[in-house]
Amino acid sequence: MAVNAWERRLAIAALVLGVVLLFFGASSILVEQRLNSAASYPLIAGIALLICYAILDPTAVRDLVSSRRSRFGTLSVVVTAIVLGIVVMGNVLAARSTQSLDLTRYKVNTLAPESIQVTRRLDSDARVTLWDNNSDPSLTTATNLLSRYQAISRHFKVAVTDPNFDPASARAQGVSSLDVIVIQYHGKSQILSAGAQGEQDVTAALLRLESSRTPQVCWVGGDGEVDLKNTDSIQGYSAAADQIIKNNYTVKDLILAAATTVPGDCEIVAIVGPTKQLPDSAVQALTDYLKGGGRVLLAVDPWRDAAVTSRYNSALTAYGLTFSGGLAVPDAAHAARGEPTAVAVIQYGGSPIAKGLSNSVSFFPETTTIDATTTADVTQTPVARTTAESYLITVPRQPPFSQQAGDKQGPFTIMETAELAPTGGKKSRVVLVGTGAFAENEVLQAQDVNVQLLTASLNYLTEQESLISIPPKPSSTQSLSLTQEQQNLNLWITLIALPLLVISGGLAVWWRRRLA
Amino acid sequence: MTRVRRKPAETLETVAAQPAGLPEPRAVVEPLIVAPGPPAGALYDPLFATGLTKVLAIAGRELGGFFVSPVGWVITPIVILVVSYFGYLLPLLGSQQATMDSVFGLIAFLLILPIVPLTTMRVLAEERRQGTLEMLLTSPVRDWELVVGKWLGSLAFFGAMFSFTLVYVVLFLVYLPKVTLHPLGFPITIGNLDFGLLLSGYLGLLALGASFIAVGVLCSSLTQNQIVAAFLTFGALIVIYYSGLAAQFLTPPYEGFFSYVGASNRYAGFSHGQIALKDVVYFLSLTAGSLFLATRVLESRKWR
Repeated sequence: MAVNAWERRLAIAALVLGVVLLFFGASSILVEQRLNSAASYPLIAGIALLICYAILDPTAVRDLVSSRRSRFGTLSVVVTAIVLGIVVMGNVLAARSTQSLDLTRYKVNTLAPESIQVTRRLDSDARVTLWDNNSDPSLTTATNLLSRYQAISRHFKVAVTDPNFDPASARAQGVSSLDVIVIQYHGKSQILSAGAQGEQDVTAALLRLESSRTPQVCWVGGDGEVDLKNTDSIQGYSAAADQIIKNNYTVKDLILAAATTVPGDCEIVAIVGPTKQLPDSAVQALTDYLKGGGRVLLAVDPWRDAAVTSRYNSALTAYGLTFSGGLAVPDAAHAARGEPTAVAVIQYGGSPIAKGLSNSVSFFPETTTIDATTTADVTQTPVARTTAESYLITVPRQPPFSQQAGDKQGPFTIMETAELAPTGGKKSRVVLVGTGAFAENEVLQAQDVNVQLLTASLNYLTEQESLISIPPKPSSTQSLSLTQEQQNLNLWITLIALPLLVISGGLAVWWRRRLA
Repeated sequence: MTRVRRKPAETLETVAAQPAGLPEPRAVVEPLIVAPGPPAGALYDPLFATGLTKVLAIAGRELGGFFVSPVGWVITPIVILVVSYFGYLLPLLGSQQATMDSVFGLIAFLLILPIVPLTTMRVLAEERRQGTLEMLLTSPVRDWELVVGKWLGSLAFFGAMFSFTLVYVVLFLVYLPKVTLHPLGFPITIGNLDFGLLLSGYLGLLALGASFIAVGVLCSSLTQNQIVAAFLTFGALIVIYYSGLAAQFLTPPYEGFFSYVGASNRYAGFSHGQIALKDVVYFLSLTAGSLFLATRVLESRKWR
């Protein structure tokens, strides 16, 4: 039977594709260690294509034995197909690999040691589902991040699923929108919504699922303190609230001014930005709470009524710490851009709260200072300090500020921790901050370091320092500040000089060849 | 081991069968037909036996060919203008950021559209059209040496064409705040640029360029018409680069397959400073597979 050229070409294509598919199927079995649809379909298709080859060009099959020329051609095609099959197999195996090399200076593509530690602790499968229809550009970022966790533990199982294809599972997992990550572990689940799918979010979610403990923060409000529900983009505290919840804490409101005792379920009492004088009963309640092993986060602003500050100072007597009440003003080099009274901190103390922050900048807008006197049984550890060029204005005056006689010279401590461990008594801890603005929405959104200070403070107070403290990674991209002259020079070099140089080269070659 | 080579009789037959009035063979053929004997030497002899010297000779001729033809001199200034304006100046003046992301992204796109199809369309198709391919193959050059030499020459031209981007790096180094580095113990004060990220970006471009050029060489080997070769290359590169987009319309395991084979997805890791094993394997496979196929296409003349 005569075979025309097209049939022969089709037969060769079927032969090559058939062999490649057979290799693809075989490598899928090798990777999956079982015969699933990803392996069986290519195998069946491969065999079918080889049969097609035999049907389309039976003479070629027959000539394999009789004709030398045909045998050479067929063998050549088979060798080609086998080589391609091996290439495909190599890719199937490589596609499953997670080995990579992070060349960036700050290792932005590498998980922090804390995340690695948490992921290695997984003792059963953590099923991570990324609900997406593959249209979101952030998908690659999320899958890249999840693949890094996957590389660390075989218990970290990732699946990307389109809710439109599996609506029942999406409903069962409580998914109501796209671009959501659901992590299921130890029979519990955590949902990470869009915009909260960074490394800290994933690690924190794993910690929440791993831990049976959910510490309660009693947030003092209702009497002029900072409100966690305030969503104002500048002075609001809703971002801080998100961070607190994200880090496995529950929040309960507490009106301290009306309390005579602090409820026993408060693992932390947070008092941020008080504006009114605390009644004696509340001071006593706070003192008793601390004596009983309580944990307090206290942030008092500068230039408050002396009576307001002194009430809190009296509750802190046992720790040897007091808020000075004055305003710390940094030198221009250590102030936030456009805010001369916002201290840009670059010096940190030995507290675990400041772990890994040595090269980072945090902001303390309008902060007061904390004075410490050595006290028995108390370990005081500074967290953040101003520079020696800063000064303290004790008596309020109008801006713009400049150092005057009577102003105290820095450096000052503006965030400090203290642990009181009396013999035979209960250990208590406090974290003092010189400004309630250190975790305002504007600051937290602009500066990841402040987020770390807030969450690490809570972890310190609940003695979970080892849990999570992922220092933010600096961007690999540097900012430039070009003058008009420099911009013009750039324009000249890249848009005019470079092309002209190449054109001149071309003309020179043309002229030389013309002369030759 | 018996090496599969054309018989002397076939060679003579092929050369004799050349139609009269063909254009003069290109300069690239001449030294290869003459096949200068290798100078004696302890190092040269083994090198010559591997075929590397012939590959380099072909690559050198191919590269020279680009510089004596107007193609390179016309394309390069246009590419510089486009990349300088859209990839370098606009992001720099707009966001005041020292980043090569846009430059690399734009070059990756330009590789597909005009550069690779235009530069590779001639490599084998023109030889075939002029009839010089047969002459070239009758010289003591193996098929793979010819294919790899042509590919290497095109890759070198690609490297030379994009060397202008180093000017941007130099400008960044001049304008960025200075840091002092201590390579090999010697202090050097230069602009604070993430060299790891930069290196990764260039490696990504090299991988992308090498594999795309290999695809171009393969397409050029399939036809004697340069325009057809260019369109074939363009179509193949569009499919290879953007096939990852098909993943969004599919479900697993097909979604995973298309997501993997899309070159844009494999290149993305390099642009973020991450060199993954799977990305390296992918680009090596695409390059080696295309060159292997091109060699088999040339070889197929013997049995078709």
